[in-house]
Amino acid sequence: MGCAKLVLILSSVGLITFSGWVYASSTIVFDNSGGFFGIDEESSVGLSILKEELELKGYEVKDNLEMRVNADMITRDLLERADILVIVNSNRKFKREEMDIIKRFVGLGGKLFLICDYPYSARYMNDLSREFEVEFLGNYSLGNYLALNLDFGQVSLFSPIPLDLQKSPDIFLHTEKIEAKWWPSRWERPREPLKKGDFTFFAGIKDGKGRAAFLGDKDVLLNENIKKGDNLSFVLNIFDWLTFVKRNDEVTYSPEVLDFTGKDAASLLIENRGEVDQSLNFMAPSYLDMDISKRSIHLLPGAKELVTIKLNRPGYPFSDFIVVKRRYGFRSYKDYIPVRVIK
Amino acid sequence: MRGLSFVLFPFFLFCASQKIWADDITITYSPARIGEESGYWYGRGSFSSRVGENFSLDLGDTEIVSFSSGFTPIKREGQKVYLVNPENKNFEALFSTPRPGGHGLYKVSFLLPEVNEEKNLKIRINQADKVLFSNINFTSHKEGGYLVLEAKTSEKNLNFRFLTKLAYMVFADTVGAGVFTLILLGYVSVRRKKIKEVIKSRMRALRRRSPLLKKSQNQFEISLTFMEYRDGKLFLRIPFWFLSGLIIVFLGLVFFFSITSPLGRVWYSLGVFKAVVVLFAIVLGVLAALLIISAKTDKELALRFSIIGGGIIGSIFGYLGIFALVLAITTCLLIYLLSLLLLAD
Repeated sequence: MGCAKLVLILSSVGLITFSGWVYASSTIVFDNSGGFFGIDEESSVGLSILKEELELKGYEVKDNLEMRVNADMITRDLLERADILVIVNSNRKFKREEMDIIKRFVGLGGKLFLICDYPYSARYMNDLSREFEVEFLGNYSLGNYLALNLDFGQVSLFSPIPLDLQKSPDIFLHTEKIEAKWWPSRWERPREPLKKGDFTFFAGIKDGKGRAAFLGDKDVLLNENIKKGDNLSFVLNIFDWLTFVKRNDEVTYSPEVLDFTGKDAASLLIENRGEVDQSLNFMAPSYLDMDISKRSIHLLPGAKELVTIKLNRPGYPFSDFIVVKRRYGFRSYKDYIPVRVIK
Repeated sequence: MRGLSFVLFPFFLFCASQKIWADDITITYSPARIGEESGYWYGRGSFSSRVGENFSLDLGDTEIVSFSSGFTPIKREGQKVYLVNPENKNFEALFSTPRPGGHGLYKVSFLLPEVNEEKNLKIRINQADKVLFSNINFTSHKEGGYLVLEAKTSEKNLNFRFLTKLAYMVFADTVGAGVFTLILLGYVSVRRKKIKEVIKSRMRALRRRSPLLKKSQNQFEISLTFMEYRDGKLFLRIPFWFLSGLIIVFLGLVFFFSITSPLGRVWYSLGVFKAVVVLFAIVLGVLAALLIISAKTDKELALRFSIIGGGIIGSIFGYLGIFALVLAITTCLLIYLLSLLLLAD
């Protein structure tokens, strides 16, 4: 009896410790040493909304000054207490020593988020980003305003600059066929066209045990823009990707098998039982000649959707799958729903 | 006539509205650790202004960190930036100002950004105590840990000096410690002959009684009498004076850390003033030691302890002004009277 009690107590302690470890908050530090500030600023050009949203998700958001470490440069002291380091438009040259400790920080499992959208800052940011084989193309302007329809919704960018990737990223987002212009400086209008193409404006790479993300637009984070379209979801997804957060994304299909034996139509009830918005795309083998009432659906958490599938050439036996391509944030999955006709 | 009034009235309204347009500027200064020292970080400012379709922003000595989306910069001429406002909205920006220079007493001097000449200026300084000089007539009040300065001005150049709370405390404590040093110095000077005489006789007695140090034929002799080998056993002797010494060292350490630990919290912020603190500590330590070891009677010892105790308390609470003097005298009397009571028992 005593032994059973001891096991019970020990396992409770273990469970509490484990849950504490799982839910331990990550500390996001916005670097001030490069001149950037604004995480507590509530005006339209501040970042207070992003800070609140990140805190709601359990992150602790601070800047160098709040960390009470040397605010003049990025130090080991700072990185020892940070999980994610965010550097925005640095206006100073990083020291070799700083770049080495940041590189080491990422290699050992730290996360780095570099944001740059000014030609002047790009020269300094690139000293650091090149350590990860990524470069901000500071003199390229992708236009004043760019609205993009991505898998997780519409993202609005403001005067973004593109990225040049020297190695294949883990994730990336790009524009489609737009024109970039030569941008001499922040206070001058972009001038002659440089080239037309698909430009990457966001990329995430894995480096050692850590991750680094690169974004060519700071304005998307500002209070006046973060609630536009799905910008907030986009930015939060970047932090989720950086911290490997796996969220509940359970989707159920009912019935589990679509049996068309003796009938030419069937209904499929889809329910989002998870905690994230999801986009679903249905793909059926072409030889089956099926009509699916909704090929693409967007499901909010808790939402249900009924999809009707009609078999245009019933009668002959088969056994195959409908593929559901499911996406949220930077994650994508494929679900296979068996379809059959039994003779 | 009616037609003319239709033209003039909107023109009047336009002129009137032009006149009341003013830039709202708020700048916050926060202390920070800069390298190994403590100082003030760059000013973190927010700027808001009602602007027309085309306008120019004079950056002054500041650097824009971010500004409202939708505004298109056209060109820059010196510190002046020309922008277009296609969405007809207010212009907002975050900017940083140069760092205040100095130690304890800081100087802020730079050119403000401006779109319009009139400015509603608000400056928040964390851990500041008072402004000593300013080229703008500010109204000031305390808000949380901040000293808040407010003014409506058309001045472009901002120039002021402010004193931190810590600097004010250190200054007041230094004055307190200075007065205390003068009192001790005066006391030692007045009683210098007696002090010299007592110390000399104490030293002679110490040499005579010292179990370690003995004088023999123009030289000192050190003898270790702590250990003795007797009947095949090693004995270790711990004399009473050694135990007393240990207790005195322990009490000395407690006394030292009780005074220096509050100082430790702000030690890294003191900068060059650390040298002044150390100098005062040495001078006061020497004077206090001279006074204590030269006390001839218990009553004299109590009196000297009470002067030193009262002086230390007075110096520590020097920033309280006249109350520090009251505290010092009360402490002095308390120590003296309690010591006399103990002696009487």
